[in-house]
Formats: sequence, C-alpha cells, structure tokens
Amino acid sequence: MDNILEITNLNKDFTDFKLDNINLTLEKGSIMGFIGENGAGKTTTIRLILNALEKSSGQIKVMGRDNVVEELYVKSQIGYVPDEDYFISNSTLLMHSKTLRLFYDNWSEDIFKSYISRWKIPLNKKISEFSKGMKTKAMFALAFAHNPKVLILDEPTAGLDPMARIELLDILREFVSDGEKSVFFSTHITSDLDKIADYITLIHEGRIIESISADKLEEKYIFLSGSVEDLKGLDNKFIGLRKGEIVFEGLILRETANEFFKAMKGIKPNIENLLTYSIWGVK
Amino acid sequence: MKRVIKIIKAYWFMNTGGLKWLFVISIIFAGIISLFNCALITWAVFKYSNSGEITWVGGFYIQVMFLINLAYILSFNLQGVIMWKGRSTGNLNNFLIQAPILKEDIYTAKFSILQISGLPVFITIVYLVGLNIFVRPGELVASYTGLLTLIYCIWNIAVGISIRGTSLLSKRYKVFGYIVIALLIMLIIVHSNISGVPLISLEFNLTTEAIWGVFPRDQASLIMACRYISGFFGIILLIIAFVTSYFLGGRLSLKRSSGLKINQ
Repeated sequence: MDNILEITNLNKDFTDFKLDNINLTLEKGSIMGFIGENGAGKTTTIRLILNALEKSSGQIKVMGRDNVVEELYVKSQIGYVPDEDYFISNSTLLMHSKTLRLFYDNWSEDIFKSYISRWKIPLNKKISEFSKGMKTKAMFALAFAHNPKVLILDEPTAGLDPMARIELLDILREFVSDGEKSVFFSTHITSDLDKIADYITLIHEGRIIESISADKLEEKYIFLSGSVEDLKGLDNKFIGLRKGEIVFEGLILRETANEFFKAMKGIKPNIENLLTYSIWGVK
Repeated sequence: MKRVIKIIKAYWFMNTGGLKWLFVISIIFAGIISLFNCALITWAVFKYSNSGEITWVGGFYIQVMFLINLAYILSFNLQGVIMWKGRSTGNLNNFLIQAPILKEDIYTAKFSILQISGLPVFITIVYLVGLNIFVRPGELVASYTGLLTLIYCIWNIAVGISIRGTSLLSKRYKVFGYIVIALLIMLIIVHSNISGVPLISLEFNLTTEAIWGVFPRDQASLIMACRYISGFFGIILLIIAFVTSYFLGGRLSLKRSSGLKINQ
C-alpha cells in the first residue's frame, strides 16, 4: 500500500526541547492517532509537516513529495485543523472562506456549503459570537472544502459535544473510505481513537516510543491486574505498572506475560492504557 | 507574483471595518498632496527665478510626516495583527499557515503593501531629484532633496529588516520590530528641525553659518553633505535601497522560525 505521509529521521532542536529522530508512515486510506502528553512534541511535528517550522534534519514527504522542496503542492493537498482557532474574531466565516478560496484551485463551494448547512453554522455572523464547538466545525468545513488528500488534525475534538464528536468521527471514517485519503489525528481523547484509528503513534519527550496498528495493539500488549503478591517481584517486566498496597494494574507485552504471568488472565488494552502506562513506566 | 496579489487580497478581505478604507484614502490623499507639493516647489523655483522673491515651501517636511504615519502602519502590518477598535482580533499569519503559499510570499506581500504606502513620498523625491538634475534650483534645495532621499532610503531598508526580523511565528526576532520605533523617533527629530527652513533660494550660499540658526553645527554639516545625493547619485542610492530592502524583506533565504518553542 502507498504511503501518503512519510517522516524519516526528523529532528528539530530547540533550546530546551528536541524532537529526536522521528520516523513514521501513514498509509493511504487510513487514520493514524498521534498521542502523547502535553509538550511531547505533537504540535511541533505537525508544524514541521506544514513547514511552519524549519526542521533541523530529516525528511518529510506528503504523497511522495518533499514538504519543503514542493511546499506549494504539499500544502494544497493538506487540510489542517489546529487545536486553537485561527479566526479573525470580528470577521465572518463567509469572509474567511472567501479568503481561503483564493489559494486553492480545487476549492469546492458545494462541499463547503454542505458542511455549513449540515452543522447549521451561520455564514454572516461574527466569529466572536461563535461557540468553541462552532469554531471547530467551521474549521473542519474550511479544511474539507478544498478536497484535501490528507487531513492533519491537532486536537480538534476537545471543544465538541459528544454528539458532534461522534458525527465527526463518522465523517472522518467516510473521508478515508475511498482508500485514497488519510487522516493524521493528534488528540488527547483516546476514546475517539479507539473508535476510528487504524494506527497509533505514541510520542513522549520528543521521541516516538510506539507506532503500531490498532489491530496489533491487542496482539502485542495485554493489560493485567491482580494482587500485588502475584507480581512476584517482577515489576520490571511491565511496560507500565501502577501498584497499590493490595492490587496492581499494568501494561505488559503479551509475550512476556505468557512467560512470567501465565496463570493470570488479562484484558485487551485500549489506547488510553498504551498512552498512560507507557509514559508512567514502572512506579 | 500571483500568490503575492492573493495575499494582499487576503489582507483586504480580513481587515474588517473602516481601517482599510482609511489606509486607501490616506494613500490617495498623500498622493494628491505629493503632486500638489511637486507643483508648488516648481512654482516657487520659477517665481524666484523671475522675481527674486523667496517663497517658503513646507513640502519637504510634509513628506517626512507621511513617513511618520507609515511607520505606524508598518508596525501593525508586520505582525499580521488585525486590529479592531484598538484591540487585536486575530493574526492573519495563523490563518494563512495552512494555505499553499510560501513564507517568502507573505514577506513580499508585506513589502509590497509598504512600498505602495510609501509611493506618495517616492513620487515627490523622484520629482525633486529630477528638478535638481535638470533645473538646478540651488544648493539649499539640493541639500534638502538629498536629506529626503537619505531618509527615504533609511526608511526603505528599515522596512526590509523589520519584515525579515519579525518573521512568521518567530518571537526571537521580534526585537527588530523596534527598528520602527527608532525610525519614528528619528523622523520626528528631523521633522522638528527642518520645519522652519526657507527652502527656495537659487543663489543661497550654503554654509554652516547660513543655516546655523536652524541646526547645530554637526547637523548642518550633514545637511550640506546631503546635496551630493540629490541628483544622479540619489537615484542610484534609491535603487540600491530598494533592492536591498526587497532582498532583506522578501527574498533573502535567512534562517527563520527556528529556535522557537510553540506549544508542542
């Protein structure tokens, strides 16, 4: 399968933080959840993809084209929804669409209007009068309107109510259904990813510590819980472990669990388990 | 160039309220004043040639006043900040981050807007330089033409440095934005000094003593030296300043937006 996004040996140095040798690939027709705690490097990675920041080294390719050398082409293929809205608050959505339309040859007014009417977003109302959810929906409508091949979402669902979130997840699933488009989805709300992600990439302190298909998550890991006595002092065999006085919970490689905790029954981990226990480690 | 025009259009669409109209009206107004100014200076020169009567012309420092106003525009424009009733309502740079344009296009668009706003002053300078080359109205006019040329060149290069310095998303170079403030102070000082000078005098013997009452000795020497850039060399200086400003502000591939840590 072709890759729509390829990041190879990407480095970015700041004075007090660095992205360290990021490698990831996103296949066509798939949704990748990009997870990590605050300050892990998610937004920086996204800004590097958009070439809004200058990388220190490495390569980013979108649809096989370098994002710096062919910046115009690459950006024309990307739909972007940031974590904070980018609107000019005393302007209207109509003016924003009119402005953005200038830059895209494949802008579709029909697509834009279909989302606007679907979400009942007023075109001529000042943005300052929009709720956070309305702003997010408006950014999605603008992002979809130029028929992007890849959607880059930076924690976009935080401001949406549960109904709108579920509806949006359906739209994203529909978006990738033709097998030609992909979604790169950075979020804290891991339950969203449980529903739609095909791949999960976990970033921590500027380094990718796991990039795995959602199917393989339960093949590779298992979530164990039980009495502390059952641990038999094998705490260090866990990826992440939380231990109380009586019971413990922990994420462990299924292979390791089969070897050392054969008698224990575990459950399949979800993405939140992967995120939290990988970061917590063994406590 | 197409992309630059689109960005300028984007600025136009996103600047709501009367400010953008005020900007256009001010340029048209400044343009008319500049043309009037050129005509007035010509009239004053011919009047002195025919009757020997010296006429005071304030046109020189009106141009400096235009540049003072432009410094304000510059400071807002560089940041991409959209202002409404004295408050920032958003930043166009953040909105355009997703669009298929290059950073250089945004710089060039800003450079173009500032050059358009400086056009009325440029018209007057080119006219005065032409007057000095072909009519030779005297050393004092030559000196003030040279001074105006010099100020415009400094203004132009400051525009370039400021655009580059306050590059997209980078807070590290925001300090360059203060060049505008320095420029503003310089212009106000120059303006307050030259506003009392009788400017037309064909046989005026330009000496330090002759303009002693207006400027201190060191500044008077500077004004005197400016007569050398009031003609052909003035044109060369204008071209050099424009090209330098263009490359500094719009095209020179300096390292930018690095070293900034934005909300990872």
